[in-house]
Amino acid sequence: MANVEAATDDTFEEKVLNAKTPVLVDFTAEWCGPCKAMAPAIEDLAREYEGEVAIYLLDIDANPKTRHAQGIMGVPTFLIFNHGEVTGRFTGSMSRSKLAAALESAIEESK
Amino acid sequence: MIAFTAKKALLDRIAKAEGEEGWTLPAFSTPPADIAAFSLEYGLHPAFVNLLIAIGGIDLGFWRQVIEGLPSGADSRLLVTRWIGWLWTDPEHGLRSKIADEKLKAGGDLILDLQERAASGEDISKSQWRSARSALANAATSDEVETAAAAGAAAAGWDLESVPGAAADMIYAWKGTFFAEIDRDLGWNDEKEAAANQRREKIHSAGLAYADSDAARSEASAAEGAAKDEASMARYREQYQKGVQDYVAANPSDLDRRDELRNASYLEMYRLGREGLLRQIGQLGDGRPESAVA
Repeated sequence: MANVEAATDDTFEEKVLNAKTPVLVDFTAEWCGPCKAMAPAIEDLAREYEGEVAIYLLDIDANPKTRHAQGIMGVPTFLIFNHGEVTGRFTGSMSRSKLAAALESAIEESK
Repeated sequence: MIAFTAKKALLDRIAKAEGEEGWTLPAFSTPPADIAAFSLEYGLHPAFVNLLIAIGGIDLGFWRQVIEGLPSGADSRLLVTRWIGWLWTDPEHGLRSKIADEKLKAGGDLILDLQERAASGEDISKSQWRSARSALANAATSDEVETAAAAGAAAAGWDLESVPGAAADMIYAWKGTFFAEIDRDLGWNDEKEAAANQRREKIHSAGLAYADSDAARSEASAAEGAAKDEASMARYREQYQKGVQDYVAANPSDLDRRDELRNASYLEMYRLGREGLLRQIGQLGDGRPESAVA
């Protein structure tokens, strides 16, 4: 996906758990149609909240350790982290605004 | 704006898709850059193409109906704004009609106002959009139907130039509104949810048991080979469905009503969404192609 970086089992702690800003992780998979349908929304959110929120994709098939650790049962799943803690969890397709509202709460809480 | 030649070219492309060429139009998994290129090629706004994908899917008949109905020179971005307005304000089906809370109504009205101003060329800042969405998100209500309907307005709270998928996003919240109404009407609660989950497991087990017993019978007389494997899989799926149907017929339950109503609501939502778009197009003109390029 253009403009959105990937996180992996190796980088998850550094990029997500130790991040200073809120983080949205899009747990996705190559074979997942709804994930592809959500991709433009995730790119839009990355542009909208650039500098305020970090957004990463995580391929659950290539990164089983994080998938198990975060209890991901299906894709797409979106987790919002604030200072290493999960503050929001969403599964399935949804509007940009729903994720945006959760991100804005996380931004407020992180101040 | 769609020109006469572009409209003709797109109708030709739809005709080819209806023939042997198959689907070559954008679909839900088409990358945004490809949707943008398609939009540019045919003089359509990307927000309009995104909306068409969301409510038309791969129904070529609907695509044809929409493109045939578009008058040459039609402003497809304006059509999206009007569709958003229709979905928000329609007295019978509109999301606003499902809301009693005045703050939520005002929040949705503000989003529509911003969309209309943006469509007329006014520059709406990112912070204006964000503030309008936040006002809706923060106007709390305990009513699930109202919450879902307000989320529909919030979904449209983006600049369509930079976020062309926003209008199509309203579909998610619209579906949520239908589902919330069904739950309210059925008096759905945690207890019924748990019972429904248990029933799903029983239905699934009944399907598996029936298919497994059939597979065991077949295996005894089965020939080896890949073709046989494919046929066996197809038969297994068929027998699974039969096991499911038999169980449901022998054990009827009101708990299944929710899924039935949800499935029906999907169809109704897409029917209404398509009708809403065609109505906006119909109001632009008679739809007959003009020879002049607008």
